Amino acid sequence: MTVTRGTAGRPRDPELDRRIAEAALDLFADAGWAGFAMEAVARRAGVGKATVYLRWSSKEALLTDAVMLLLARVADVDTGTLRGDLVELAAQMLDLYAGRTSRAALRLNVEATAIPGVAEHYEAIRRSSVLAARAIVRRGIARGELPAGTPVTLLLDTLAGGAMMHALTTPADKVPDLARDTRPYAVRLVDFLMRAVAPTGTGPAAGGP
Amino acid sequence: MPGSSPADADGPRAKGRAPHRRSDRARVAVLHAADDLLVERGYAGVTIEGIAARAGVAKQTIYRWWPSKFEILMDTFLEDAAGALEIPDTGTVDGDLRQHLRQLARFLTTEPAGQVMRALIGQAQHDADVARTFQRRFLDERRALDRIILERGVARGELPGGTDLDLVIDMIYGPVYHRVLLTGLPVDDRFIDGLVTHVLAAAAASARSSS
Repeated sequence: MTVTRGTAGRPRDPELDRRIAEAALDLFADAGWAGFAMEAVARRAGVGKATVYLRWSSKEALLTDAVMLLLARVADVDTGTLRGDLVELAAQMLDLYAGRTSRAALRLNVEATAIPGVAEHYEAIRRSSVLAARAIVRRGIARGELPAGTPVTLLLDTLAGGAMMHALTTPADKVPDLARDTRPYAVRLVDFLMRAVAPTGTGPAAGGP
Repeated sequence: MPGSSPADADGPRAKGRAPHRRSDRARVAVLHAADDLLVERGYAGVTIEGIAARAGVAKQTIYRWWPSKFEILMDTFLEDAAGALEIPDTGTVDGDLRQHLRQLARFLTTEPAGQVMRALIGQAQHDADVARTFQRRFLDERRALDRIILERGVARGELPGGTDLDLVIDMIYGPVYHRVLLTGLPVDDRFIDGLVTHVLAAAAASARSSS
């Protein structure tokens, strides 16, 4: 099936769209796809059923839009320096796995393939995020911040994996602190990694091989 | 089959002594039945009734040992993990990490462990108790063991003294979980070798720059 954005022609109120999207992700995190329903999203968002139905033709479309609105932001990163971009990227990943939408994101990773319509969109988001992240590293190489032979995949795998692992193993009572400010750990992660790939580059490192 | 009460009332997780033989058979049957059902039907399809029927034990027997199906799956997962993920001792940090990551990759990508873990993580997203238990009994436990490899490396002088071991653990093991859980990309020997080389080089460079 195809998932279409709300086509009912009503002018969109971004504030309201966002509130409904957040309610949709929260409900999905709690109940999974099996318990996901338009009415329940409306209740959670504190809006009428009609408000939701006017905007989205199906629950597949609603969840897809919520995912697109709240979970995919990697493509926007371009601070002008490799280190700046990577710190931003790592912070986004920590937000993703420690922040408000983390439960929905992890659940989506487990369930997305079983949800009609959502699977393809989710896969497309994932792929475009990977491509955007690779573009960050390539820009760094083009600017001479990294050697041409830099292992792009490994660099991004350690960044993403490290961020996810840190969020997953942070004790529950410390997660709010992490979610409030993800930058300190993002900086630690990026500085550590960059020393291996850019020994004479932008970091404080010197005397590499 | 069993179903009557064995003497071992402390349950299956009591450590440090051999469980009653008959109860141990029942316990193993329950764990295997839970694994099989999960692979066949997914998390939602696993029920205490189904496990009891398949294992040939009474439901009361199961409830005496485990409060819920989640605890049963957690136990099957931990038991499998303990067997598959023994900490190697090859003599070098490099060798230990490579071998241990291969063990981890094989474990997580071989059913039913991979599927059990995905189910547990899915469940943990809306059940704080499940999340805490998974973190404490699996992730924290693994991290303590993973540290041993690195601490031996520090002791042998292969890793610099001030190395941020928690950061190294995040970056060595995180990518394997990330691939298995999220991206589905292969965790092959080539990937593992590159990962270990890359992170150990970062650790070495990190210490040089801060000394």
